[in-house]
Amino acid sequence: MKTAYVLLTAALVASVLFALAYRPQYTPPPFEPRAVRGIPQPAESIGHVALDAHNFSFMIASALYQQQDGSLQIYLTNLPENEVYLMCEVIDLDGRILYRSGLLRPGEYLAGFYPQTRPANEAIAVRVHIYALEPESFFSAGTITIGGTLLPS
Amino acid sequence: MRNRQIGQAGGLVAINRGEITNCCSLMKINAGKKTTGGLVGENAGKISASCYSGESRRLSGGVFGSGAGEVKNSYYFHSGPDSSKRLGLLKDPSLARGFGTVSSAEDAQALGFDTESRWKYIGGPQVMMFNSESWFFDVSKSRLYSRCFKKPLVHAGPRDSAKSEYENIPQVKSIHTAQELIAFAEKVNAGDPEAVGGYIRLEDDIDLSGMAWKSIGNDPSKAFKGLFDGNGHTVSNFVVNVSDSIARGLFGHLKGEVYNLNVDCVVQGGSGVTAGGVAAYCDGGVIGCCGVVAEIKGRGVNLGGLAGVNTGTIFHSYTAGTISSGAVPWVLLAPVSALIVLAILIPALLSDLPIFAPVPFDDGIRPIGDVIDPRTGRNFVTVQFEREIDVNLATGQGQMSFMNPGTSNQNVVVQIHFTDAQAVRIMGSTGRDAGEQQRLRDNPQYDPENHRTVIAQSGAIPPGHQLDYLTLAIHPDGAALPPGQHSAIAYLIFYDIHTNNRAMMESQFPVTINAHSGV
Repeated sequence: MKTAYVLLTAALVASVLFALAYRPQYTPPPFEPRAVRGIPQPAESIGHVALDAHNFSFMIASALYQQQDGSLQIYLTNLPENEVYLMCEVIDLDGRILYRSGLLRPGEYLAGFYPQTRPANEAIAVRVHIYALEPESFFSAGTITIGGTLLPS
Repeated sequence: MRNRQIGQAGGLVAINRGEITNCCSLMKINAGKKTTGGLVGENAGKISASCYSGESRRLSGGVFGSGAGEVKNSYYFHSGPDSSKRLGLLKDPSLARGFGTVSSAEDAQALGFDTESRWKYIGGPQVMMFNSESWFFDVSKSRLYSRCFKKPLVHAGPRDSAKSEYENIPQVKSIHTAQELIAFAEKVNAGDPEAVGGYIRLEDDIDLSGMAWKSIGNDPSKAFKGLFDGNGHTVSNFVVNVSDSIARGLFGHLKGEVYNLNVDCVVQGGSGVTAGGVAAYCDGGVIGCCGVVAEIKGRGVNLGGLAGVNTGTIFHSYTAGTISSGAVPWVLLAPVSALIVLAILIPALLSDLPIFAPVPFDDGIRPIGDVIDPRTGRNFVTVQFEREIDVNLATGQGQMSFMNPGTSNQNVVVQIHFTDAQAVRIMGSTGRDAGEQQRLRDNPQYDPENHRTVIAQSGAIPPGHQLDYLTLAIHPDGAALPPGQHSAIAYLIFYDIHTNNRAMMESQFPVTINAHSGV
């Protein structure tokens, strides 16, 4: 029994030291399974706006409406001429990630996605981060942040 | 160091130095490293016409675990084959009998059990139980009965000298309720002689409602010396765990006699504790026609289902329930410890999962020696480098002495650019492979005067570090920088030191390259 306690204590101490020292090895985000090739045509009420960043451009819904099932119609589009992957996160002002996409290749778009954490069905101030990643290396190619409001269904 | 607390455990009695007759135990025992016997842990007395049939781990012996006392017509009934290896490891393998070998009352009789009056054959794993018609002791036959309970006659008329001066009327104290039993126990423990030596008879089943029970006669000097007749009733629902007593049971120290009593309780051990359902110590006392259904648990020294230590007489009694040493078994320890380790590791493993891959540090960096104290709150970087870069074409190294001070909160990657037009003029080509260059030409927006080609690039230079030399790129088409002085652009790319996010603002500065052959 004493041996068991010694081993358990050693395992716990080792776990704590490992947890303190651990730096996770990088794993690229997964590609978006709901990605579709092409350029979407969202409804007029949602709209679709093009934005240019330093070395990439993209399109995104003008208005962010939370649907009744909690999904968000975002129409994030990685334009074909880009040489980067794009992904996005929608984050509330407390830093809580409400929605997160996978990677979109050039020429793909994501119409809508489901929440990581179901937000309240009310108007919520959010930030939309669009992350660009270099293919193969997955180094950052820049981030664009857009302020907006998540509108209720 | 040897654990002195290991002790003994027995389904009926932990240590027997008295007599045990016509008893049985069905206790499930898991007492760790204790010397464990199905019926008796250590036997230095006598055991006869008794049996054990229970599931237990790590039995030292089926009937008795150790000792050289007398054992007669007593057996361990088990479910496995008689030739099993487990039986061979017991202290008393010759006393083991498979259930199947006792298939009738006659078989039990042949083993020495009185199946005509005391025992009843029932078969199966239990094999035998007491004959309920005879399972009751007439307390008037107790040695204490006639000795203790007399009162002087009150004469209403002339005395008859031929008659006895006393009338044999037992002075019985009847107990009907839990409160009365508690009061009796308190009087014994206070040393009240009437209680200590009294004749007590239960008139009803007593439910103690889960109370913490202080053993009757919890001290050797206050042992119960009287006669306790359970009258076929049960004392139930109590827990013996009072920390100031190491003698734990319904009775702590018993020098008297207890008959016809059923006990249903939990006894918790502790350091130095001796525990038993009816009595911790049967100090020369008598326990007869009693039954115990109990959970005896804890570290304790001596754990017995009915009694911890017996130096008296126990007969026609049984026990059932569990005895456990309270240790966490290995089989639970592994998953519990795994869960604890995972609970520590999982948050660490899942925390800070980066979106961006980190740009590797340049192999040539060295510390500047300043205090690394990156500013927080917003992006901040200051840099210092040579605007005239001396390039040794023999080594491919350009001396730039680029410094990223410790107050920066960005890693810096340094590139040296020519415009495509410049590259063609100086090196003869842009350095790209033909396919890539053609794709650029096919783009109507391509402008060689603005489009850049990279002729040198560093790895990441973290805050508080310096890169002395930048290495020229080796171009796929073999284009190389010729000797001479050339104008170029130093292009700085910034990555957040925590998130590896590339800043949207990048900087560029004109520089002059002095390329020479290295002589």
